[in-house]
Parts: sequence; C-alpha cells; structure tokens
Amino acid sequence: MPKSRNVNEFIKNKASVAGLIIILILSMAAIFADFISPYSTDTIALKEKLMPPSFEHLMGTDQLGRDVLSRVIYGTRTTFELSIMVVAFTATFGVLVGIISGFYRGIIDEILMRLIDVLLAFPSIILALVVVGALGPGIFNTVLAVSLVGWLYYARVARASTLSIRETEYVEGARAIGCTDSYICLHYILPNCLPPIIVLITLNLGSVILTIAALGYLGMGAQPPTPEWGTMLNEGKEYLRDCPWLSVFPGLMIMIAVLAFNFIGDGLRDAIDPRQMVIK
Amino acid sequence: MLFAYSTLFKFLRRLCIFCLVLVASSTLVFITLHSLPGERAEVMARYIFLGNVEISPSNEEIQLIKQKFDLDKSLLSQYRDWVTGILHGDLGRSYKSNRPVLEEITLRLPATFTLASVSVLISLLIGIPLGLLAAIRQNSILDYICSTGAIFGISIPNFWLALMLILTFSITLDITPVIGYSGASHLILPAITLGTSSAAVLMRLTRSSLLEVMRQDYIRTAKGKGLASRDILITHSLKNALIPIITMIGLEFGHLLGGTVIIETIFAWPGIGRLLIDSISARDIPVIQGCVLFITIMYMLLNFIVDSLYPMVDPRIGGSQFA
Amino acid sequence: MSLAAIFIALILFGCSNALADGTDQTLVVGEPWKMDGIDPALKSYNLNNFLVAEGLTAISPDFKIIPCIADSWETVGTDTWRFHLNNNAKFHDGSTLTADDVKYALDRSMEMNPDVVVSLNIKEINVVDSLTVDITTNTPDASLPARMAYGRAGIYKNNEQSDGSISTPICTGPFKFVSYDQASDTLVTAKNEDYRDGAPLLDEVTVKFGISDANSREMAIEKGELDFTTEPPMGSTERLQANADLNVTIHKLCQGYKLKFGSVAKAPYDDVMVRQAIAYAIDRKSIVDDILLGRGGVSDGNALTPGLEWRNNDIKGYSYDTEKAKELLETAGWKDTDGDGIVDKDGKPFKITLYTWPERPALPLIEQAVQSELKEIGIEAEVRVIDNSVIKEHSGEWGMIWVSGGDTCMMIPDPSYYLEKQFLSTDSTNDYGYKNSEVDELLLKARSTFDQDERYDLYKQVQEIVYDNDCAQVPIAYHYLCVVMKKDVKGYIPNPAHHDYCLSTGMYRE
Repeated sequence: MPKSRNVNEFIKNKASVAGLIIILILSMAAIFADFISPYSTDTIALKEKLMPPSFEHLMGTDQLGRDVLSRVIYGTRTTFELSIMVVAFTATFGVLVGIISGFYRGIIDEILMRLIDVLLAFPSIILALVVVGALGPGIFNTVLAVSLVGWLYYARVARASTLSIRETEYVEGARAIGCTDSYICLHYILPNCLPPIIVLITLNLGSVILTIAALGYLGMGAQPPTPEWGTMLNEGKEYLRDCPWLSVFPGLMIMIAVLAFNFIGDGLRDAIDPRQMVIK
Repeated sequence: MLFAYSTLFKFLRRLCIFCLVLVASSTLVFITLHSLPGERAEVMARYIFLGNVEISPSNEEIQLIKQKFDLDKSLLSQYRDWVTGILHGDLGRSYKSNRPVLEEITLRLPATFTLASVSVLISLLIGIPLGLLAAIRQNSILDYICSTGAIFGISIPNFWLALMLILTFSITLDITPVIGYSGASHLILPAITLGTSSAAVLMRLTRSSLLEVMRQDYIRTAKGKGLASRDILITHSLKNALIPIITMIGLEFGHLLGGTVIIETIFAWPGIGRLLIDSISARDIPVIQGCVLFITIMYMLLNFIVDSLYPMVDPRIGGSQFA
Repeated sequence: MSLAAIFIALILFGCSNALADGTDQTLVVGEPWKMDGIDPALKSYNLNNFLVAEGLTAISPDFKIIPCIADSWETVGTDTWRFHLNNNAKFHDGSTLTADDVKYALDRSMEMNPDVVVSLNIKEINVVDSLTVDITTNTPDASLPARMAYGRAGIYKNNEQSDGSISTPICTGPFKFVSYDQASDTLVTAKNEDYRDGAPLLDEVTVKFGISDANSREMAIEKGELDFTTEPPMGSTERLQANADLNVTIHKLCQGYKLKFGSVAKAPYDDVMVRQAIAYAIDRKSIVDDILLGRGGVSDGNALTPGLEWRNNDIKGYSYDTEKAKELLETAGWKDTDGDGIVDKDGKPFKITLYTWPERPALPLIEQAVQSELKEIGIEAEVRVIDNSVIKEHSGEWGMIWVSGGDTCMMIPDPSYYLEKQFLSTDSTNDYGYKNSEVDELLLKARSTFDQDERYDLYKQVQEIVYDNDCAQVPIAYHYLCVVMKKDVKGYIPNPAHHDYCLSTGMYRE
C-alpha cells in the first residue's frame, strides 16, 4: 500500500482533517491544562456559585463556584486518560488474542468465535454497569468495566486480518525459509492487521468516551470532585433549567470529541481500505 | 441430505458451546456479585421493612430478618439453590421486593419491548431510505447533509439528547407529556432518542453497503452488452446489500437495550433497563443476575433469528455470517 | 315571549353556575420515592401519609400526640398501656372497628415486618373488651402512645387472600383505598364519605410513586400532569415561585444534615477537642445559603428540630470560627510540623475520607464544602460518594466521617427514638462507639418515666451533654421541604412531624 496515496486521500477529506485538528487541540488542552486553565478546578468559592457565562468565567460557574471552563479543560485530561487506558489495554490484548486465534485456529479459535457471538452483541454498557455496581464507582473500576467487552472488537478484526494473510504465498514463503511462528506473526501478520486496527482504535475511542461519560452520568464513573464530562452532566442535572450552561458545555464537549474521532476514523477507513467494512 | 445433516450438526455444536458460555459467564457474574459487601438482610431492611434507604437498620432488626428468612447460607449452597432454581424456571426472589425475579422481569418486559421495537422501526424508517438516497445521489448536497448528520447522530451522547429533546418538546413546545408510559405520545421522545443513533448507523451502513454493491454490479454489467436500467440495478444491488443491513439491525436491537438503561431512567419508563439500574444501586443481586441471564438469552435468540434470515435473502449463504 | 326567554336564560345561567361550582376535586400527586407493594403490614407508612391508614394515635403539626383511633389511654401498672377506642371508628367497608381488629393488625404487622417489632417494643396485646385494648411492653415504656402514631403501626382489617397477603387494604382514614397498580406503582384513593370526623373535600387522589428524577417532577407539574409534588431541582425555587400557575411552599421538616464520626472510641476522634475543632470549622450559614439555596436552616448545634417540646433550646453550639478550630487542634497535639499544610501528630498526618451517598442532591455538595473547610484547618480529606449500605463497611477506617442527610429525628414521634438511637451506648444502631454512662442512665430513666415534664427534662439534659459537652456529632443544618402545588390546590397544612410530608384532610381545589 503506497503510503503517500493514503495520506493524500486522507487530507482530501476535509472532515477528517478537521477532526484531527480538533483532537490535537483537545490533546494540547489535556496536556497543558495546568497552564491554560484560567482557574484551579477544585477551589470552592460558594459565593460565586451558579453564575452564567461572563467575561471572567467564559462558561460560567458551577454549584460550588468553580469555573466551568477550567473544569471542562481538566475534564479533557480525565476523559482522554481514561479512554486511552481502556483502548491501550483492549487493543493490545485483543490483537494478541485475535492473531493467536486466527493463526493457530483449532479449539481456541472456536471458543473465541462463540465468545464474540455472545458478547459482542451484548450491550457493553450493561456489563460495565454490573461490574461498576459490584466493585463500586471510581476511575479504576470504570476502566476495568469498559475494557471487559471492548477487546473483542480488536480480536475479531485482528483475526480476520490474520486469516486473510495466513494462506498467502507471502507467508508460505516465509515459512519455507524456516521462520518461526512468532517471527511470522510479528513481522508479517501484525503489520497487515495494523491498518484496520488503527481505524478501529479511532472509532473505538469515540465509543469509549461515550460509555465513560454515560457511566459518569449515572454516577457510577469518575467521582466528584474529579472533573469528568459525564459526571459534570450528572452534577448539573439539578440545575438544568436554571443554569443550563452546566449541562450544555460538558455535553457539547463529549459530542465534539466523539465527533472528531469519528471523522478521523471514517477518513482513515476510506483512505486505507475502503473495502474493509469494520462494523462499529 | 448431507447438507441438512451438516447444518443440524453445526446447529447442535453452536448450541452446546452457547450453553457452555452461558454457564461460565453467569457463574462468573454470580461469584462477583456475591463476594460483595452489603448483605441481603440490609437490602431487605432498607427497601421492604424500614422503607428508607438513608436510615441504618438496627442490628436487632437485621438479626430478626436473618432468622425469618434463613439467610445465613454458604456461597456454595446459594449457588446450588440458584442453579436448581433456574432449571425449574425459578430465578429466585428479589431482595428489594421479595417477589419472584421472573415476575419482576416479565412485568417490565412489555415496556422495554415496545420501546425497543418502536425505536428500531423509527431507525429503519429514517435510516434506510436516507441511506438509499445518499447512495443514489452520491456526493450531492443531500448526500453530504445525510452523511454529516449521521456522524452527528452517532456522536451525540444519548442522555444529553434526551434532556435537550425534553426541554424542547415537552417544555418549550408543550407537545409531549413528561411522565407516564401508556400511549403513543409518551413513547415518541424516548423512541426518537434511542432511534437516532441506530438510524445514523443504519444510514451509513445502507449507504456504504449499497455503494459497494452498485460499484461491483455497475462494473460487471457495464462490461456486458447494453446497460441495464438504473432501477433494476438499484433493486438488484439493494437485495445484495441487505445482508449486512440485516445483521446490523439485529446488532442494533441489542445496542438499543444498552441505551434503554439510561433512557428509561430519564423518561421514567418502567422497563428492564430501569430495573437493572435500580437493582444495581440497591444491590438486589438475584434481579441483577436474572436480568443479565435474560438479556444474554435474548441476544442468542436474536442472533439465531438474524442468521436464519440470511438463506431467505440469499440462498447462496447457508451458514453463520460470523464464520 | 320575552318573559319565557328571561326565564330560560335564568335557568341556563343557574345551571352553568352549578356546573362551574362543581370543580374537579381530584388531585394527582407526584411522589419521588417508590412504594412498590401495598400490603399494609409493610406499607402502612405510605398509606398513613396519604390518609388511608390510621393508628391508635396521631401526631399533630405542632408535634403533639393526639387521639386518633383511640380516644384516650392510660397506664395500667408499669408496663401496660390501656387504649380506649373511639366508638365511631369505622373501616372503609362500613364495619365498626373493635379491639380484635387492633390486635389482629398489630400482631400481623409485627409478624411480617421486623422493623415494627423493633420499633414498637410490644410484648403482647390483650383485648379487654370490644373497645378497649391493653398493650404490654417489653420494658416499662413511657413512649408507647407516641409509638402508636408511627406510620407502620397502622390498623387495618383482616381481608387476607389465600396466600396471606393483603392486596386491597381496608383501613379507617379519610380516604379509602380504590386501586393499586404494581407495574406503574400508582395508588388511587377516594373520599371516605363516612369518615367519623367528616368527609374530606377531595373526591379522589392519585399518587404516582417513584418519580425519582427531580426534573421530571418539576416539568410534570409545570405542564399540569401533576397537581402536587415535592423537592423540585435545587436550582429551581425562584423560577417556580415566579410561575403564576404554581404555589411554592418551603417548610421545615424533622430532618437535617450532620457530620457523624466513624468512631469516637479511637483516634483521632476519641479526643473531644478534635471533634470540637471540626465543629468550629464548618461554615453552616454558607452551606444553607449557597448549597441548600434557602431550602434549609442553620443548626444551632442541636440536631432536634426547633419546636419540639423536648428540645433543649439553650444549646450553645459551635460558631464558624476557623481560628478557634486550629487552636483546639493544636492543643490536642495536632500541629503542622513539616509545613505541608496538613497537621500531624507523632508523625501521622491528618488525612481522612468523607463518605456520603448520592440519593440526596445536596449531600455530595456539602461533602465537598466540608472538604474545603477542613483544609482550612489543616485536615486533608478525600471525598467519596457511594451507596449508603456500603459506607458501613468503611466505618472502621481511620478518621472516617459520614456526611449524613435525611437524618430524621421524628420517624417515631418520640424523643427516645432519636436520642437513644444516636447516643445510647447499648442501642444496636449505635455503631460509632459513643458511650457516656451518664447519658445512658438518663436515657433509660427517661424511657420509663411516665411524668411528661420530668421525662422531657431528662432528655434536655442528655442533649446538653451530647452536643455541648461531648460534641458527639456535628449537626450542620435542618432540611426544609419544598412543596410545589398548582395554584388552585388549597388547604395544605404542612405536618413536619411526618418524614417528608403527608396530605391534609382539608385540601381542596378552588
């Protein structure tokens, strides 16, 4: 696959580029939160509570007087940290299992396929809820809960890629010259898996952000006073009609972040391999 | 003859493995839930006898409850009781209400089913036609609007959408009612909220699937003599494109159930999703187990139905699409 | 001809007037909590709130125990109370209520509901004659008449089904049970025409239980789907007050917010100075103004609601004084020796965790405010919001503090209920190790002192000790209930003695 052609295709897609820019901005916000955030995120100033957006507080203040913009900025950090943790774990584990399963086939493959059958269609939010309900709310449990089903997507894609390349002459040739299984997996199979996996990662990040926010909204995710967009929506519920800025801005941020990842993912998918239909 | 034999064999094998997975996962859930803090007597005290979740029941009361209901059993015997119960169709009793879990679930099934069905219907009615249009008029303004709209549709958090819809239609425009769940007017907002992301997914899938098939068909028939009329092309393409769409509908019905958990809470819809959330916060373990079991079984059924539909759409396909 | 026209016009005018007089006397109530069941042995508390079930006695809005099904009562010996029943008390099906019914209902409730057993402290019930019933308590108990006003001691008739449950309660109140829908948790009641004190004004009341989302309740009443509801979202008070179609009342309740130490029997809270330091560190006024947004009252240091006869109104309490707090901590040996902003003692920094639960929206906010106030005096606190029953598991942690809400002092309308539960060292709910033998002595004596004034005086002494001397707990604020009604709903008299609210018989639609 000539790389330059793909990059060109990607750049042609305006939405994808916009998405990339948005994600870059958000990442900068997450990394440099301490510098760019106008106020600290956990100093309580009860006398300045529930103020609408103004020059001093561009997104207003919340029920404890904290600046919403600052919390949203730090929230970017929380959300990105959590999502990256989830995706890092699930992608690594999933790809590993998928490659092994697709390469060796046999009983492991059978079991994996059945697991995929059952669990992939199962709504991950419900499983995540049960786990968080069981273990208690909090950041670590949230990551664990959301990761439980997520790795299957990666396993399936990796497996499909593995299957498609396993029988080619390319790999046969490598086997003929005496390469070990692990060498073949690492240097032949894995690179072939990468393009659809990368697409999946970007799309999956969007869906993970939504799940984490949903858990936060239900009070089961990140706990106060940690600024997380879903948790902020939950806290803002009590003031929905009278102080809508508490709900509008975090909700908007969630949508923007997910949108950006979806734009990028779509663009990547079109650019890298339009024929690979990776179902979300 | 051989064909039928092999499908039967495949079916039985799938059934066995499914049962295995079911047993393994439900046992895992059982162990996780029962190794938790918060005992049954506490839940019963707070929800049934004391009726107040903020007041701690006295030790005296807890003891009385334990004696009355014979609650001090080992994990193993509880597991044994649960499994034997399931084989008899008894999923145990809710800690929160002391009613049979099966009854609690069947009481709320119609509400969730109605909501999910109408949502799927809405997503079908919106998603497929739009996807069709977008594919036919590819790269036009319509296509651009639909595609972008679809991406928004899958990116918007559904709990946020629900709140915005309520604000707009129930309060500002005063069209739809806020609470209650009988009647079409109550159903509209939650169904639209749920249906939006499914509609978006279906729209994108229809569009890309159709484009894919059309491209192949077009190339093929263009090579042949004479060009087939566009309409025949489209109908032919659509039929082929249906396969992934049907799979998606099956999957989306499933994802809807996940979405209902939040939506039912926001709209006070007395369905399974709400039951699950309430049970989780109350630590009503039998109901949580029952719900998870129930949902898993429903999913298998759904997959099975979806798989059986394939041969009807395309007789060339005989087995599972997942193979 | 014209005369006939006038005549007809007059008739029509009269008719239309009559029609206008007949406003729809129905009420739809939106209740935040679930009832989830109807058997009176378990749910007569809710039935009592909605004026369907009654007990032998009742509690008036000014906290007095008044006759209800029973006309009068007196003691017989030290451990028995004799209740004389009102001979006009009738069940909703028309039958007269007798002592046998009282025995039946109470026995059954005790058998089916362990909470009733523990709350009523009844040893046995004896029927003396058809209008007299003797209730013997386990120990000499001056509080029994008050306990009979407890919502769960409601009296109902025996109409059990074959499986022993009751699905259509027959009680004695101003409203009679019409129907209950399990799936939607909705109760419908109708006017009891033959109620002994006169029929109520409303014809029908529908109660929709379980509308737990505050926004839903608020929107529903704004749209007219509800006529009466409570606890709209915290930020909406002003807007609702400005709404011309609605009437907003904020009234006091016997509930409050407080800090409860995980354990006062071990470090760091075994030192009264540390407890007092924390009490001085809390800015109660700010919490009421800025978090409760006016739906509360600053506590003077006594968690009991102002207005209760047995309340000690001379409690000094603790003002908001950060300097004093720091001083006390220092005297107790907690100093910031390493300059990190956190006080420490013998090498151990004062780092604790605050726990609360999410069901009450103000609690996580109060928790965070307390966190910041503790930081001012050098205590670093982490905050956690988890399920109430799970917090118990953490109560042994070093320095743990409960931020408590819904702390009700009148669940059972007697001083013994709250004071014993919180401060009697032998009470099974007392799980934080508070033990003061003087308090124990006073409480046990008061429980069996039948002279009311003497009894109340003993309780006042207890309050002085536990709040001013020992600072066993730290009351923060009283919780006020915000009730929202349609403009035409009149006659609601708040009864703060009920946990949350109960309807009034005098309610009607204008």
